[in-house]
Amino acid sequence: MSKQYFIRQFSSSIRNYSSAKLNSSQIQYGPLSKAQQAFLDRIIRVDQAGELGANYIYMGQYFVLSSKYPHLKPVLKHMWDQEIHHHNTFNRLQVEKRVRPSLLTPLWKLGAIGMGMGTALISKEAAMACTVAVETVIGNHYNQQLRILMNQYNVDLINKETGEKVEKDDLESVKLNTSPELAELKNNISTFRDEELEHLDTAIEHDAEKAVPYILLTEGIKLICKGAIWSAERV
Amino acid sequence: MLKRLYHSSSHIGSNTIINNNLIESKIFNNAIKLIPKYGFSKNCINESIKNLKYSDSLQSIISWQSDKSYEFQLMLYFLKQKRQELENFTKNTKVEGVDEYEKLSKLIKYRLSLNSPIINELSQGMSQLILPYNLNESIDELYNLSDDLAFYSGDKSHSFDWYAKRFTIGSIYVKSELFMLNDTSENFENTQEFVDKKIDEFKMLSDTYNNIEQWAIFNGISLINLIKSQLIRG
Repeated sequence: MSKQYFIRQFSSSIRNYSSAKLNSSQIQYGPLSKAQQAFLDRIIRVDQAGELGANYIYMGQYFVLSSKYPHLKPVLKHMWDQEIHHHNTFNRLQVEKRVRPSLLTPLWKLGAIGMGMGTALISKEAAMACTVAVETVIGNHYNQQLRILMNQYNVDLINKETGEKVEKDDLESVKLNTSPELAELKNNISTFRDEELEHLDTAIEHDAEKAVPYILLTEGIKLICKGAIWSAERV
Repeated sequence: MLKRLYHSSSHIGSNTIINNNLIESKIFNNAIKLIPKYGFSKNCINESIKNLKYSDSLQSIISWQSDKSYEFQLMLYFLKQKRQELENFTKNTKVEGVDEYEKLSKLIKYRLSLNSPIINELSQGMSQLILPYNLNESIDELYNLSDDLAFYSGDKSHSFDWYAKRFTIGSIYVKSELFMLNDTSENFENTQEFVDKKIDEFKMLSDTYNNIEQWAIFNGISLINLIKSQLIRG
């Protein structure tokens, strides 16, 4: 056992000294499996639908609240702008990666604008409670996606010149382990998650917890969001 | 129909239509060249195997793959091969056009031109596609084609129009192909005219839809403002 161990150590050290470390232009990423592709397909579809929902919820809230409570106007506008940016990013990805948008998109639009306007019409606290519920669900959902993207996306790396498989130790930096495509996606998702959680804090600062049936509102909306996520992934 | 796969940009080889290194692809590629001689029949495959000097038992590679008939598999492979050629075409030449619709019309014409070598046998192949027990696969393939056509023409729809577009493109393609079967004009000029006419109709339809949508949104907002102003007056 010890002999084999030494041989392995020795051969791996030869490999390290004999060839220089590979950089990004020298390697190529192997194909994704069907399951990996199917999951990415789902991610982009559900995130696009989710960001569309968020965008329209803030639109509805802004429409009702901006004239009634001028001090909330910049707060809502800031959050809404961020959601528009998220929505545009996923729209772009959906077109580039040729992902099918959710078939129920018209329903998501109507539902989201209704939810935004409805809670805003109850009271400004109810609108904030709605934000709390939505952003909690979205934040968790993004975290779940990131966990899978981190764990389940090990693909073979191939040396472009020789066509041989590349060991992870031969790379110039650890970052090269993931393709730029997946790295960008992960990066986007984690930034967006942080921004969504920022919205959650903002909503709590603006008296979300004073909404009258707080538990009922937030739990109800969370349930609706989870149902929407479940169906947007599939249909 | 709802099954779709993510198209990867950095992971090369995730979305190949045809893998030319497989033995069955070699057999089919050669068989397609024999279609004008034998029609869409099992003979093409038998002869192709003979020509390639493979053993006769290699037929089993094709029957083992799916339970569909040889004729249908040959037709399906033909469609996939032409879809692959369409992809190569869009990679090598830039399709010029003032808008999406002009590009789309050029792409459809290019795809139809790929049918011309076997145009006399094509109706045999198409009759395989519409058999009820083959319909599932053939509709999938039509959907893949219309999705490709929409993507290469630069479609950027995000909502329900995504589905409407693919459905319409698919139906335009099928209509044009049926028209082409009976077209005796030189270089299929009548078919090209037919495609242009259908694409114009499609463009008009989508413009009309957009105009109605804008009109409805505008009136919806004015209605809300009207109600608001009446409420303030009391």
